[in-house]
Amino acid sequence: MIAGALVVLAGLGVLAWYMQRRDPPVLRLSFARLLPDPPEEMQKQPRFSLVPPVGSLAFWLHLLAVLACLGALWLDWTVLQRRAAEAVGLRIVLDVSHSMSLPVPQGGTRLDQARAVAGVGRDAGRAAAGEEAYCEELLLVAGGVELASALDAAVARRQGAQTPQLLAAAGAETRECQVTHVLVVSDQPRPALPWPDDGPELIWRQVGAALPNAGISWLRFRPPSLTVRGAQAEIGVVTYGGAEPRALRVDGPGGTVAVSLESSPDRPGLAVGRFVPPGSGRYGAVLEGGGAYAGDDRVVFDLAVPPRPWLDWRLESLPAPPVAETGADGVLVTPAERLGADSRPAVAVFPGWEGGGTARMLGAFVEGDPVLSAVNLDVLERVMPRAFDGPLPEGFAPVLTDDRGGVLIARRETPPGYLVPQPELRGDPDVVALSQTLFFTALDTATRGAPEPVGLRWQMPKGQEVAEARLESNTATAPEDGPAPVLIALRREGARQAPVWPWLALAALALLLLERGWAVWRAWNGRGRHAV
Amino acid sequence: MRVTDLPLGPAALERLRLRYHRLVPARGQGPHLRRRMGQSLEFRDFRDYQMGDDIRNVDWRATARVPDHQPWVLRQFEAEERMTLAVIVDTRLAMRLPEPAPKLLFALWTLRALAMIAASSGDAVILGTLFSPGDTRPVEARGRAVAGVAARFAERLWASDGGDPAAVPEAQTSALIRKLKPASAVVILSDFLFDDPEGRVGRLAKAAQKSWRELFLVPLDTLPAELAEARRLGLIRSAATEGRDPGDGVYEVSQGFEAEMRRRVDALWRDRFARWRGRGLVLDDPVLWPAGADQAGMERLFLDWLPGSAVLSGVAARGGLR
Repeated sequence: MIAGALVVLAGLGVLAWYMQRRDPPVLRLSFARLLPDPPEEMQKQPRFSLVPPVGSLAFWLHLLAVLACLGALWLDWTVLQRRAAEAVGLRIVLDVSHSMSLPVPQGGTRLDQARAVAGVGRDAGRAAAGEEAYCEELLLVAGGVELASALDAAVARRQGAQTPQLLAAAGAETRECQVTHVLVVSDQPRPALPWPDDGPELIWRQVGAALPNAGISWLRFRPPSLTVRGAQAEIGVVTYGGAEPRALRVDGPGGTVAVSLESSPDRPGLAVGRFVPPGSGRYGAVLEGGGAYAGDDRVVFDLAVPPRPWLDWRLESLPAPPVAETGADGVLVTPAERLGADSRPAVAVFPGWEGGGTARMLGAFVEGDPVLSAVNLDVLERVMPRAFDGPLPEGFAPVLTDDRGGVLIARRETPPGYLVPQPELRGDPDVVALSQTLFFTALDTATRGAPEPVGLRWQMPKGQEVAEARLESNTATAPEDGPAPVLIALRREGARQAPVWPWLALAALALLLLERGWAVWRAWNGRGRHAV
Repeated sequence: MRVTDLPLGPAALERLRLRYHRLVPARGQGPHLRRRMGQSLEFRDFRDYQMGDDIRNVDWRATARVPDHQPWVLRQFEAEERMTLAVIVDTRLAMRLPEPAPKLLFALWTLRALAMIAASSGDAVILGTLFSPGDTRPVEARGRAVAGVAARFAERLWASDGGDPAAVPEAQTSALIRKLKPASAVVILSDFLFDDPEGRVGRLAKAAQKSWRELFLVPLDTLPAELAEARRLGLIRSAATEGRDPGDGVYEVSQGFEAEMRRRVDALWRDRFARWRGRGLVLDDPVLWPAGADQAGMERLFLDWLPGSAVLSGVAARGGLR
C-alpha cells in the first residue's frame, strides 16, 4: 500500500516536472544592442501548462521507466524459458557402498535390486523421450563418485558412504548430458536436505529390506591421570531395528576380556562398553550377535597407553599428595620464583593469600577455563587474593585478573602449565577451600595428557578391511515392500517458467541510463537547457 | 599550448608571406614602399597637393611656376621609413561570443599572425585594443621581439575579464591615434556592432587613413551562428548587454526575426563604414561564422579565411595593396 502510494506520487511528480512551462533560456547575443523591443504578449506566461509533454524524449523515457518499475512490483508474469537440452536427460546415481551387498528376501543382494530399479528407470526415461533426444549418465557412489558406462559394472565397494554424498552426486555439475531427471537408488532413505526447485526432477528409490543390525561405531580413550588410576577406553556400539548384540570381546596385549555393554541413558540405540587397556599395543574388538551387516562387527585399533604422571614436587609448605608418584622428570610443582625456563608441564604458585588482596573486584577472565569452572567466583571475589607480583613467566597468559589488571591466575598452553595462588592449609575456611580447589584443579589439568585420537579399522570376519563401515550400520530402515515404481514423464525439461520482473527492473535501469546518456550527449553538444 | 597560439605553424605563415611578397604588385600608400635601408628622401615624382598631405613636402618653387600658384605641387619620395603595422582588437565582452567559438579568439589569432608576418618583413608592430577597461596603452615592438610581445599581449587580453557585460563600453582611442605613424597600416578586428556615440572610433578610423596610412577593417560576422542557436531554442530571452536590457521579454525566433536582425546589422555596418570611408580604407569581406561552429570549426574557418584575406595580402605584399 505504502509502496503503491509512493509510486503514484513519483509518477505525479514526473508528470508535474514535465508539464512545467519553463522560462525560455537566456542567451547572450552579440547583436543584443540591436534587438527590437520584445512583444508584450510574450512577456507573461503561466508556470504550469496542461499541454502533454509529448515532444520530450526524456519524459517518455522517464514514464517508461516508472511503468517498468510498477510492472516489476505488481505483475506476476512468467515466461517459458527454453533450454537447448534433450527431452530427457537421465542421471542414475547408484549407491555401491558396502551395505548394498546385503541379501534381500527376494533373492540376490540390495545392489541387484538397485540395478533392476535403475534399469526400470532407464526404460522409463527412454519411453518418455520417445522420438525426442535421450541421454543418460551413470554415477556410482561409495565414498567417491565414479562415472560408469554400464549397470553391470556396479559392484559393492568395501566402503561406507553417507546419503549426502549421493545427493551431492545427484546435483553435481552437468557433464556431457543435460540432466532433466535424476534417479538415486540406495538402501538409505532420502536425507532431509534441500533440492533446488529449478533443478532436474529428483527421484529417490530405496531398495532392500529392513534388517536389524548392531555395529561398533566409535572408541574413546582416556589416558591415566592423577585422578584416574589407570587408562580407560570406551567402545560405542549402535543398534538399529532392535538388534541385541550378545557380547563384546576385546583382544589385546593382556589377553582377551569380555566387555559388558551398558545402554546409554540419554541416547537410545547406543550401548557403551568400557575396559581398562593393560598396556600399549594392537587391540581387536569383536561384537558377537552384531546383526545383518558383518562389516561393522569387528575393529582393530592401536593404543599407546602412557604411564601415570608423576610429580617433581618442590613445594615446602605443602606435602605431595599420597596418590602421586614423584620423580625428577615429573610435572614440576614449584614456587613461581623458582620456575625458571623449565620446559616441562608445571604448576607454579605464588603467595596470593598472604596478607590478602588489595583489589575489591574481579576483572577480566577467560571463559571456559577448567580451573575457573571449578570455583565459585562470588566467593573468590569476597576473599580476593593478592595479584602476582612481577612479570609473568615466559609463555604464560592471564586467565583471571582483578579490576586493576593484576594477574590472579595464568596459564601456559605448551607445555601445559598454571600459575595459581599458593594453597592455604589453615585460616579462613573459604580461603582454604578456594586455594586448594584452584591448586589441585590446576594440577590435575596440567598433568592430564591431551586425549589422542584413536583410529578404528573395521574388518570383515575374514580380515578384509571396510573403510568407514560405521556409516553402513543402519540397515533397518529399508522399506519392507521394496522400491516404488519409477515414473518419468516428459515435462518439456528444456523449458521452465521464469519471472519477468527482473527483466522489467533491468529495462527500467536501461531506460534511465539511456535518458542520462542522451542528456550528457545534449550537454556536450551544447543543446541542453538544463544541467545534466 | 596556450589558447591563443596559432592553429598554423610559423613555416606556413612564412610561406603565405613569401607568396604575397612575390605576387602582389607594389602600390598604394602605407605598406612597404621600400625595404632598402638608408635610401630615404629619394625623389620619385610630383603630384598635386591634397588635403591631408604633409605640408612640408610642398615644393614651393615648383608651385610658384604654376599659374595662380594653384594647386600646390607636392614632392613625392620613395618611402622614407619602414612600414608600421598597427593591429587593433575589439575587446568588448560581446567579442567573446558565441561561447563555443568566440570572435575574440579568432581576432587574437589574426593579430598574432599579422604581427609575425610584419616582423618577418622587418616592419614595426603596434598592438592596441578598443574598449579595454584596464590597461589600454598600445604595445610597440619590432624585429625578433614581435612574436613574444604579440603572444603575451594576446594572452593578457584573453585572460582579462572584459568588465561588466551590461555596461556601455567606452572606446579608448586617443593613445592609439597618438601612436600612429606615417606610412603605416592599421588593422581593426571587430564585429563593429558597438555603439560609438562620441565618434571616437570614427576619429581613429579617419586618422588611420591620413599621412599615407591605410586602414583595414575586418568585420567578424557571427550573426548566422548566433541566430542558428536561437532558432533551435525557439523562444529566447536576451541578457542585458551593452546598455540594452530587454528584461523578461521573450523573443520568438522566426524567419522574420532573423531577417530583421540581419537587416539591422547590415544597415549599421553600411552606415558606419560609409562614414569612415576615406582614400585609405580597405574593407575586407565579413568573416562569416557557420552555424554550430565550435573551436575546431573556428580553426578551420581561420585557416580557410586567412590566406585569401585582403588584410593578409595588404600586410604581406611588398608594395602594399589597392
